[in-house]
Amino acid sequence: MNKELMLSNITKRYGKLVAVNDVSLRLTNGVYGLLGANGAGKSTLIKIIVGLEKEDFGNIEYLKNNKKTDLLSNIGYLPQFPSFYPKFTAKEFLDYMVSLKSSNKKHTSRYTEELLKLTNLYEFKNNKIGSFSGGMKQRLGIAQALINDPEILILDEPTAGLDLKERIHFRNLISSMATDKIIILATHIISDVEFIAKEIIMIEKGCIIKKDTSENLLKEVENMTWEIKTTEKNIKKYLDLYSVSNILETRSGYVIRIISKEKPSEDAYLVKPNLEDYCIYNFEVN
Amino acid sequence: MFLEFKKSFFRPYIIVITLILMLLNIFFFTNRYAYLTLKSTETVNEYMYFYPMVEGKIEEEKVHKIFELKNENLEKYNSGILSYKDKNGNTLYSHANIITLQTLIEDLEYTYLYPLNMEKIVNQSKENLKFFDTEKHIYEINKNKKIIKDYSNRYIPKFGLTRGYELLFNYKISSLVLLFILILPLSSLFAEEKENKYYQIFIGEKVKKRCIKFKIISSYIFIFVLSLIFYIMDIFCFNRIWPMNEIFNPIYSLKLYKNTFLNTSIFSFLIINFLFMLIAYIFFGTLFMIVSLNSKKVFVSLVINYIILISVIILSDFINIPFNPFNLLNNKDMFKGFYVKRILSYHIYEPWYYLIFSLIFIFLLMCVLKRSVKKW
Repeated sequence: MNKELMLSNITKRYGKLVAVNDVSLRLTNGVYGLLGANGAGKSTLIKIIVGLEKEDFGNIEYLKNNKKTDLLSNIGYLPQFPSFYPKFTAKEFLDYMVSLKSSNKKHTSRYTEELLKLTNLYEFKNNKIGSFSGGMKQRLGIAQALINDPEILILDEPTAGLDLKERIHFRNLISSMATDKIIILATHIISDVEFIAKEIIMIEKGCIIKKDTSENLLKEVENMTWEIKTTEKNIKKYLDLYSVSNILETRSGYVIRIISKEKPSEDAYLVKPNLEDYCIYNFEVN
Repeated sequence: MFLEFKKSFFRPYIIVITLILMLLNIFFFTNRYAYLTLKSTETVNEYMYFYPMVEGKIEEEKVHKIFELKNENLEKYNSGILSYKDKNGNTLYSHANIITLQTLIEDLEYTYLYPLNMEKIVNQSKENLKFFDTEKHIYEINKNKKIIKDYSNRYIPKFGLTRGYELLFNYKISSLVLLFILILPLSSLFAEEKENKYYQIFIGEKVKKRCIKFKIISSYIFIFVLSLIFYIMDIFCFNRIWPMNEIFNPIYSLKLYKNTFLNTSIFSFLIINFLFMLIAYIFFGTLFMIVSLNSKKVFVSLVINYIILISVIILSDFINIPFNPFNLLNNKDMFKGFYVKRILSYHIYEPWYYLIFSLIFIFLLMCVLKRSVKKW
């Protein structure tokens, strides 16, 4: 089924501050990584899409086979800092959310158990949410976002608090769902979206500055990513002069990763760029 | 729905506070109230000692025996016998017996003479009717017709223990206790969702509406269940203090309702009384919910609701408007007599008049609630 989420000229102001500035996007099935620094406007844009904030200008449409469809009933959403009822158990919470979200009579107790299994929470189903770690709450948030198998999944910082194993599990879960869903994933953990995102949307000061595939974006920093083996005393010099995307301590000293159009030093050598390098380049060099 | 109920109302602090206040009500407030009204529980015990002799249908033989007993005790008292033992070995006090038997005789008289007293009222109304008929005074004609219709052929079939019912209908502390309990969960019902940002996961109108619907329905269920528990609890408490029976006797077998226009049984009146109180609780509950819907902090909602409740309690004595929610809670006076209010050209008994206004006010409150829901 042909699905399109169309954002046209979305603008949102808080007093004099323009949080989202004339944003237009056309999203189809697949994962979209929404990247931006803190305060760039990611969360505001997401809140507008899910109806928690009202846009000052512009409109949002969801089209299925070119036919306008209700957007909000097709959205699954995980907020940035989700808070759930602490006295509920995980199972009770999901049962409650299913009773609110779903009119499907087949969505019974077994359905919520499936969701708990999917997010690796089944063995904690009878534990109170108040006793959950941040990562477990995040997984529970993901589980509630998946109720009703939504066509659009919007996840704001979904991997915050998840350990490495959970993040890999989460990435695989998202990848497996990407074929028939529009998934927007706002994160500051770039590696979470680098390999699963169909396109990366970069937002800065409320404006979309880039929207392209990872490969195309990386082409922009090709032949600009350098590594230099150096000593501790030279680190500050490089930090002052260049955009540094990583400093790695090794047995023989330090390896500094620099994004620069010119070769930063004689012993610098070119390396294959990644999305993190691109982001550093965009948010610092530009 | 059950989960919403559990989330909003099955909370440790609500359960603990409710239990504490319930126990206080059972073991302290009702007892204290009964003591202030009766002065001593011995009166009840003595009354209960003599009551079996006259219980049931009033017969001359039974009345005669009570009079005899009173005279016997009077003679004993006059000859200096202050206490004596009955055939079962119980110690009886002649002076206390005289007072108790006098009370019993008064109660018997009330029951026995009730048809005669009502007949007098009916006859008086018949005469009034003739007079106003010639004067063409429509209001008085209708009023007297109503009196004749409602008060004719009245009698009390059995002599029962009615004083416990009177204590129950006069007692209003549990209503106040209940209102103070209701404020706790209802103030946080919506405000808590805002304060903790739980609402962020309710995406779309349908989900939001369903959540609000669950909350409102479970609140009304909570109000109904808790008020029923408190009411039944009060009945048991007063039954323990002063046993009650003959629940299917007419309501006018209670001296408190001697002149009531109602021709229902005590049992039906218990239901009417409960429904009136329930409507008042629904009124206050809806008010508390509206405040919660418009508050972003639970504390603010709680404070506003307590201010509203305390203000209404204080002002209720001074407000003389058709709808005063406390009239419904303290409804005993409404049913005491033949009080008629006029709406356009219709005459309506005062309780029904207040009931109509209350329902109109509740309807208006629900409209405000609906408006607040849209903004939530």
